[in-house]
Amino acid sequence: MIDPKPKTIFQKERAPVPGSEGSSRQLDDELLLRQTFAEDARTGLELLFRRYHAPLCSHAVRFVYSKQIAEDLVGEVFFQFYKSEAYSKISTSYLSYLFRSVRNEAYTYLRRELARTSPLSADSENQQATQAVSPDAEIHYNQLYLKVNEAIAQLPAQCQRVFLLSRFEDKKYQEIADELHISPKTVEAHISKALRHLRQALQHDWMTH
Amino acid sequence: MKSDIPKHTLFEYLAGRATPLEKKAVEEWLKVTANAEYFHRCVYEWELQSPQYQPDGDRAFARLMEQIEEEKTAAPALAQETAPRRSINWRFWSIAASITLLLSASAWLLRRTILYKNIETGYGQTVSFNLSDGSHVTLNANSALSVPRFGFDDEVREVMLKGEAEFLIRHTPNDQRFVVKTSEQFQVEVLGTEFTVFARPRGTRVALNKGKIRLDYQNDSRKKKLLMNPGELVTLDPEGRLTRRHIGKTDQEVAWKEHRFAFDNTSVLEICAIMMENFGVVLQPGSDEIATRTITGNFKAETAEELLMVLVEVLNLRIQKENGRIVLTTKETISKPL
Repeated sequence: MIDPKPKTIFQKERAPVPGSEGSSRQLDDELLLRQTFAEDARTGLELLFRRYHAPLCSHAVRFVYSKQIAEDLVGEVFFQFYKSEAYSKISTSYLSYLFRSVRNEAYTYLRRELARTSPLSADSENQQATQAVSPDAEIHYNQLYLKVNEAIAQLPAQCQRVFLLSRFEDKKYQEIADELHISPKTVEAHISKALRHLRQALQHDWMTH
Repeated sequence: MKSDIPKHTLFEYLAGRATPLEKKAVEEWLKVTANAEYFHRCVYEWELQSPQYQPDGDRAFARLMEQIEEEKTAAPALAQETAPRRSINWRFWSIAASITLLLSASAWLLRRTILYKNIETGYGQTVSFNLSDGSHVTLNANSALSVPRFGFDDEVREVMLKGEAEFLIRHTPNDQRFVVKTSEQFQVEVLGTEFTVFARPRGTRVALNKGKIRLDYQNDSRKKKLLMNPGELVTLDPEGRLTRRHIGKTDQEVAWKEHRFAFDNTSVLEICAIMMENFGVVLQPGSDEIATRTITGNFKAETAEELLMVLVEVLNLRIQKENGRIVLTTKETISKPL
């Protein structure tokens, strides 16, 4: 019959309570998470996941513009966090660690995909493991997703629609063609145009070491 | 965890709306490694307030658990090697992707997920968030708001609502209009103001708290306009009839924000509709007499059961469960004796 508490766990977390996020509460949260991990890592992982999964995905999608890829990236960060037992090693808060990792993963992903035409940047790809320490990294990440957003907003309407259908919604060329009543060839043309535009817009954004 | 940079400045910076001076200050501040902790906390809060979309957390967690199980059962020797770090297929354009997984939203929302960002609530949930223009929205249970992914900041800020929401609209320097569409036939247009919109199958209701708004609606296929003043409540029934009345304070319209239900001579029949809208629970009056009984007063109820208890106690009724429905009957009669 009535389920008195429908799946509210995500919603309760998500509903922001402006001003009520005192720093003492943050510390308590973090402490609770750490204690849970110490007692039982699996339970700790679930708590951590319930708390941060949605905002992390929301953040990642600003970079990669695909729900699928955003969730893959975030899932991978949680997986590594668990597998490498980072939870017992890191000195920063879990929250900070997760956001830093997701931003870094998203950055790396975009660079692999969009900067690969240049042999120079393909080279620097090998150094990606060390890049997290760069003091400017966080600033670069911010600029990057804002630029991605701006670049997509600049696309002509139809090109943008095709791009988002393919990218954000993960649809096949044929499906997009059917939906928009255009030929698959046109879909392809729109997508390579969007890609070219993105590559160009972001070409100076790949950090050099 | 004190910061020299106010949180709202960081939010503006994250949204790409900071002034050049603010931007410079934030970026200087960010170069100090110790500030990363506070910065990430702000990114987290910002994402809670302005989510891009809502992922299916249950499914994602199940997948993570599978991945962990697989890892365990794989030969332990293999794990020693520097295994390929990621299981992600690095495709930018995935042609053969599993799109079916994404097709779980309802048809109405599906068409709009491409160019629109959707925020949805389930039964019994409410959620508050900011739009990219700084306007604040609180969404009641079983409701959905669609916001254009691009072009929202253009001349007209347009959103689509199914269900019930409160809007606190930020007036922009360039006087952009803000439009809430509830159907092809009805829309609310404003500059900067506070109001609530209720748009469900049993009608549309708009209550204005501050400022001025214009309603555009269709009646007998003719387009009509109505200017609303603060303290007014306009209702549009499913047949397209419009009524306007002055109610003074509009607080009652947003009672749901505190999980309160404000009843004012509200009939049991109406409460049954509210039950369905907010909790997805099928409740039916056992007789016409019960259907027309009314309740007045404020009641706090976070769940369907709490609201049901109120009804039962106030009206001295009993409940009977019959194949997925709940029927309200009087205490004396037993409708289905065995």
